[in-house]
Order: sequence, then C-alpha cells, then structure tokens
Amino acid sequence: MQSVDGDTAQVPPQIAEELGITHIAYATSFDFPEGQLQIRRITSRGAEIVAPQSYPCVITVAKWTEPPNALFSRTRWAYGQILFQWSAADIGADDARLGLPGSRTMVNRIFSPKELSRRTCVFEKDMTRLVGLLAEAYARKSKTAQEVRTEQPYQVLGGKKPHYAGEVWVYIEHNQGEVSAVSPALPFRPEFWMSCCRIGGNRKPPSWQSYWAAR
Amino acid sequence: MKTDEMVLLLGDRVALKVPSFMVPSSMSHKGDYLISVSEMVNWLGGVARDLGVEIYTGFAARELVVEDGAVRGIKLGEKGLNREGGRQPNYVPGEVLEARVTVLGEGSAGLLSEALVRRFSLGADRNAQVYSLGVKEIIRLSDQNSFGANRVIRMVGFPSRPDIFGGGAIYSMGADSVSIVLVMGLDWRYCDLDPQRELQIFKSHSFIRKLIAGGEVVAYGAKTIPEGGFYSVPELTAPGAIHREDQPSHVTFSEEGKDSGCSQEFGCHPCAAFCPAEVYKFKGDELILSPSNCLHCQTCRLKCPHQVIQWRVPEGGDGPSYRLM
Repeated sequence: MQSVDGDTAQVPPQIAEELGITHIAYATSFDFPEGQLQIRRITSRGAEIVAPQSYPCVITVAKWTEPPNALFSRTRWAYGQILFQWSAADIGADDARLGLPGSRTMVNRIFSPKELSRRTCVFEKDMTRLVGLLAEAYARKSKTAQEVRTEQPYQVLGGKKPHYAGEVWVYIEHNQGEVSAVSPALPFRPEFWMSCCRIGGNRKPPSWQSYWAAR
Repeated sequence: MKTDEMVLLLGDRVALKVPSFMVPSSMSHKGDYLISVSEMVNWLGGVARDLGVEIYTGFAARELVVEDGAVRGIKLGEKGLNREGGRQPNYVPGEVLEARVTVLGEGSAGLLSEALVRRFSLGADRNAQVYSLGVKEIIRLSDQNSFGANRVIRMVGFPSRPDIFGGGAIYSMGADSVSIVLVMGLDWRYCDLDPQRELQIFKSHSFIRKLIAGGEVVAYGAKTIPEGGFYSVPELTAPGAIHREDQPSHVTFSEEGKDSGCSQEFGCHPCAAFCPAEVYKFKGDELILSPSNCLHCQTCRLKCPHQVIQWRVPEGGDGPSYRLM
C-alpha cells in the first residue's frame, strides 16, 4: 500500500477533516471488546490503543505485516457494483487546490531520523559504581535533550521559496515534555492550530511556551 | 513450429541429429503452435470474462464439499493465520461455495482432484498416475545469436543416466528468446540428484552452449507432468463434479516437510536435492524450510521417499508469478 500524495500520508486525514469526522492514523490492528471499537496505532514511542470518539471515522492503516483479507462473498459483491469515476471537472474542483500546486505541504527531502541514544543493559552489582553510572547516564540524557532543543531552526533547502500562503496544519506529538522526533501527520485537533497557526494571517504564530501552556 | 529436430547427445560434446524419417510422426511438432501457458491463461481469462464468467483469484480451494454422495461445491481456505495456526487480526474464515456442477482445473497433481478420485474411486481399474519433473529456463539471446523463431530442438541422452526417463528441449519464444527445458521421470533412484543442477549440466553440453551463447536467463520454473498416459486417466466425472486434467491451476500451493531419518538411510537428504527451488535445506540434520522459494511443482509431495512431506493449500494469492513460462 502506498499513498499517492508523495508519501506524506496526508490525503486521508485531510479528507476526514474536510468532512468533519474523526480520524485515526497509523492503525495496526483493531479489536471489539464489549462492542467498543479499539484501535492499536503506532506512535513514535511505540504503540497506543485508542477509540474513536464519534462515528463515522476514517482509520488509516500503517504498512504492516497483516494486510486485510477480503471474504469471497464480499469480493464477489464488490465486483458486482457499478463504479462511477469522477474527474476533477465532474466535481468542479479548483485546479489550484489539486495536485502538487494545491498541496499544503512540500517534501524537501526524505531522511532517516538520527538515533538519539543507544540503550544498553548494564548489570552492576557494586552499589557505589551503580549510583555513579546512574548519575552519568542522567547527565548524558539531560545534555542530549538540551542538544535536541537547541538545534538550528529548520531551513528551506535548495534555495526554494514557499509558494503557498495559507493555513498550515501541524501535528506535534510530545512525550513527558519533549517534542517527538517524528511528527508526520495532520492534526487531530485542527481547530487549535487553525486558530493560531496562520502564515500571513492576522494572528501571530504561538511560541512553544504558549503551546505547552495551552496543553 | 517450422523446424523440428531431434538430436542424440552423447557425452558432453557429441551431438548426432536423428534423421527425420526415423522420428515417429506422433513425436514431430512441425506445423504445431507453441504457446506460453501463462500468456494463454491470461488471454483465456479475458475471453471467459467477456462471456460473463466471473473469475476471482487469490482464493485457495481447500477441500471438496460432499453431501449425499455428490459434490456440492468447495470450501475455501482460511486466511490470516500465523505460523502457529493462530488467528491474526486479519483472519477470515474459509467460505463454502456451493454449485450445481464443480469443475476442477488444478493442473498437474491437483490436491482436490486426487481427493475426488479417492472419494469416488474414479481410478479403480486404472494404472496409478506417474509423474516426471520439468525444469525450465527462459533465456534472452544476444543480438548475434541466430537460433531464430519457430524452431524446436528436442534432445535425448546427456546428462540423464540411462535409467532415468526423460529428455530435453530448446525452443523459440519469439525471435529473441528461447526456453530450455529438461524433463526427468520422478522415479529416479539417486538420492542426491538435483534437477536444477542437471539442467545446468545439460546447458554445459557443447552443442547447447553454442546455441545459447551470450544469452541471459530471465525466468525459471519447474512443473510436474503426468506421464501415465491414457490408462492412468481416471474417470473424469463424479456426481456433481467434472475433473479436467492438465488445466492451468489458479490455485497456489505451498509445502512443508520434515526429515524422517533419510540421512541415516540414504546418506543424504533427498528433498534437499530433488526440490528444484531449494525449499529444503539442512544444517547438519536440522531442516531449514524456505517455503517462500516454492515453485509449487509438488515434486516433494510426489518424490519424498517416506511420503512424510505434507501438503496443504496456502492462502490465496501466494505462489510463483509466471509471466513467460
């Protein structure tokens, strides 16, 4: 499975937001305990189990080892349906809002995130040395976190100039006060960002401090 | 086919052309058509769809549904099981498809066909079916190669030993490619005979080496071939079912097996040799299975000396994707 939006995986969330319905991304499995739909989804720190707050909802699945299987009866039913193919002209879409020109994001480069730290198991029986190791690890972790926070601001590469002025929706995951290294999707709470993140709009973008305060 | 020749290979260098008057007319294919089975199936599928036939791929027929002494349909295999047989989140059960008439077109050594023959004793008073194994490569020839189109050369002798039934052939696949195939009866008695290795030895004969010089292998495959002839054909109908032999299979297969003390008995592991796809490998006496290598030729099920290799139909959609064979 591969999205047709330049691998930014934004089309399903965007459609969900346009339709004003709930959306859950990166689903890997689901369950129905006591009739309640529960979705297991990938997060940057592992996985979490969530449930949609309202229906209908859009659930997008991650590329995973368990592709969905169709029943024969449903496959036969699907083949019997009449499909209508609508073009952009059929729905009267604005060309400026289609394809790359209409995309609200632009892929500058694709890279693998740096590994921030390598976890190791240390079996130390000497209590004094164990305390020393803990102190050393704590200092190293604090330094690493500080380095992450003080990274240079993002620069548009290749001398490209932004060609879009309008709303920019950003989805930020955070964990225990740290911004996640991987925040790839559109927001689950668009109303918050729509109200305060406008480039060229009337309101100033919020500072990080105000974001944390708002949380 | 405009040119059909038969050649006797002696040793790894000598090739003697058999005069055409000595070749029985029933063995000559001059004037016949040579068709890629894969391409013919695709074409035939389009014709069938145009006639209103519904074709659904990716569903494996697991077993026959027999009620009141007649075939009522088939049961599909489950999907979404893990290696241990547990149900994954994408599990779907096997559905039963009922039909007034069930036509089995599984190809060589079809599991349901064999079950049907057993269930309704369709093979009574007939010879047991015997099989050979064909291993094949498609080779794209170099620009300088002059093998040409519409040509087939059939060969007997090298590399097979005299007690192994079979022979080889090389034939045009259009103007720029050839198929080279080696067929061996599955009743060979050499525990370490490797069909793929035999094919490579076959290609090393000086006569063949010149024919394919500069070529590039673009595809390979393997398939069993029923060799029992007319007297091994079972009755082709049973209540509620029609069995058509030698149809290209839409059902895919996989296999898994285990060692049964072969190394002590034979001094080697025959399945590691006779499987043309290296599904069975051994680290000492430990079996390492690679089912994803499987070409679904079913040689292992037929050739295993202890018949301990168990076959079951995998989930639909698995299997080799032959495009040129």
